[in-house]
Amino acid sequence: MNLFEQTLFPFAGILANVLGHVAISRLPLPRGPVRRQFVSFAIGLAIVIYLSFVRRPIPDAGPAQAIPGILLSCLSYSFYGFVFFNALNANVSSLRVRLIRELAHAGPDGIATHELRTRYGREHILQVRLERLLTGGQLYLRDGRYHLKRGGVWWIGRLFALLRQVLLRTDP
Amino acid sequence: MAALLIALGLFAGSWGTHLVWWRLSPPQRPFRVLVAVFIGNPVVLVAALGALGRTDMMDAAEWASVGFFHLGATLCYLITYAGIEETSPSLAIVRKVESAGAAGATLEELGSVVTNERFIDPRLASLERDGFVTVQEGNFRLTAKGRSAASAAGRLSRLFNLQLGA
Repeated sequence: MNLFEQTLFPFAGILANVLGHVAISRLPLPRGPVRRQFVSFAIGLAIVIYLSFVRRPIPDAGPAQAIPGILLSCLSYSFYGFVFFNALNANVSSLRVRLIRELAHAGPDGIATHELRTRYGREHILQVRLERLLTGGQLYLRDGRYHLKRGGVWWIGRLFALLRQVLLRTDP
Repeated sequence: MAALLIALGLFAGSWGTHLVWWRLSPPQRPFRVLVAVFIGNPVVLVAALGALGRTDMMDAAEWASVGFFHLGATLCYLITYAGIEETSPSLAIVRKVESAGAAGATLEELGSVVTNERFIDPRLASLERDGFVTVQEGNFRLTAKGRSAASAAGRLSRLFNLQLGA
């Protein structure tokens, strides 16, 4: 087989991820968008692993020779999968994308600053984010007070705080 | 094995250059410098190997795999870096709840960290600076670039059945 085929395995995985997500996003499942994205990511990863084993460049190669190539393909796929995940997630949770879409809905006259803040201000952001954090199991509510569960968002926050300290020497 | 090690080493070297640069003097336009560092490092590597006559250590397909790996890793890091530079409202809420400890935080306390001044105004300013919006007669309006971005976001939402959040 052409050695270049292996270079294309991650992209076959991304194609499966994107097409899988188009299909999954239309299914009446009770799961949120993030879990659906994990499912389509897993479909793409399975394709990459399958292709890497079945169509490896040197069929007679032992595991020690084959595993680095498979790992490289899987890591490359994961990077592009992360980019795809964030591209979709930006449409759900990015403040900038939300502001741009609010302005698009407003038409050519645009929106005054105070009106934009009324339509889409701190109260709205707080309400939507709290709902998402509660639904996603990152926080829980007890006796009218919010409490932390150390879930994914907490870990992401720790990573960002660490990188900020290392790179910028500033605390969050 | 050589391709995997070179790919990992290339990314580690690029990140190391970025770390040293940022520790010495964080740039005013970090994303431009990051792109330059992460693209510049592979160029320097290939030039150095070319000068040493060692580009034949991998075949063309392996070089292509290393290139795709490095591009993907760089895009991931640029996305991650955006989170380092700018805190999201969700992270601010989680940090506030964490700092409240076992007592937990009330809605009013959380409201104090999610303010328009902290989250809306800087983003509107950056959208204006990057040419997505303009202010005319006291109103925020989309530019042609902003309309294209809104249109692309709308198409993506329809294709993947996404609901507008915040």
